[in-house]
Amino acid sequence: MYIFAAETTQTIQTMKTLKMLPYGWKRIGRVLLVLCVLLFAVCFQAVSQEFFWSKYVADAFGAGWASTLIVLLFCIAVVLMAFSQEREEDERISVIRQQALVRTVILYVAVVFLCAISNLVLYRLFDSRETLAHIMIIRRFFTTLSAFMLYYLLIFKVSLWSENKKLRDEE
Amino acid sequence: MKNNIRVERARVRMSQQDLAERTDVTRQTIAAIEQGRFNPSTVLALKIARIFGLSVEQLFELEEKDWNR
Repeated sequence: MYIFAAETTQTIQTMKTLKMLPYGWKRIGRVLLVLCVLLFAVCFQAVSQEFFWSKYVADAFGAGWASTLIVLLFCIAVVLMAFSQEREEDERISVIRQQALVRTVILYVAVVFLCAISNLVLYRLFDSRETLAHIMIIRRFFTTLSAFMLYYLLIFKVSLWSENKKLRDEE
Repeated sequence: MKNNIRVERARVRMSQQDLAERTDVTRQTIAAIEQGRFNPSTVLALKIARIFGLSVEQLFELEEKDWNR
């Protein structure tokens, strides 16, 4: 009887919400994202505006550690934000989360498809191989796993905001 | 799916927040259920019904369109 009761409780907890990181991890993710954006801005400014310390930043980019650090920080920040609970998580938010994930997969497939066929247009628009290479590098970001997480975060936040707004409007 | 949660809440003079706290969900979730925007899980439906001292079928009712999905 006791074992049955314990199993029932476990089932209810599983049904209530998805297993996710506690809300506190979302804050850590936000801090990491801000750090990542700041680091990117500092490096970008340094390389483009020739400060006295630009040489060191350019060297760091050249050695790859600064760009690797930015990418790693971005990945960790986005993953922490995507897999953490909301301040008040319940089954309605879990449903919105799952719907957002389905929409993200559809959007991601569309983006991958568009990126693939964009080659046809890009080769006609740009003659310079250097410009094309830059566009290709930027375009590659939109099909990475980090971009997928970013799409998911945006879609989930917009869905949650719009659902809550509808509820407020109808009260 | 229709429900009588708003009516039952008014009958026992319970706010959405009170019901939300007793069922361990957010107030927005109770509002969404009342407005028919969200269908609760069986567990949550049973909890709400038990709080009002009713059966689930007294609180929730299937509509014609629910059969045509």
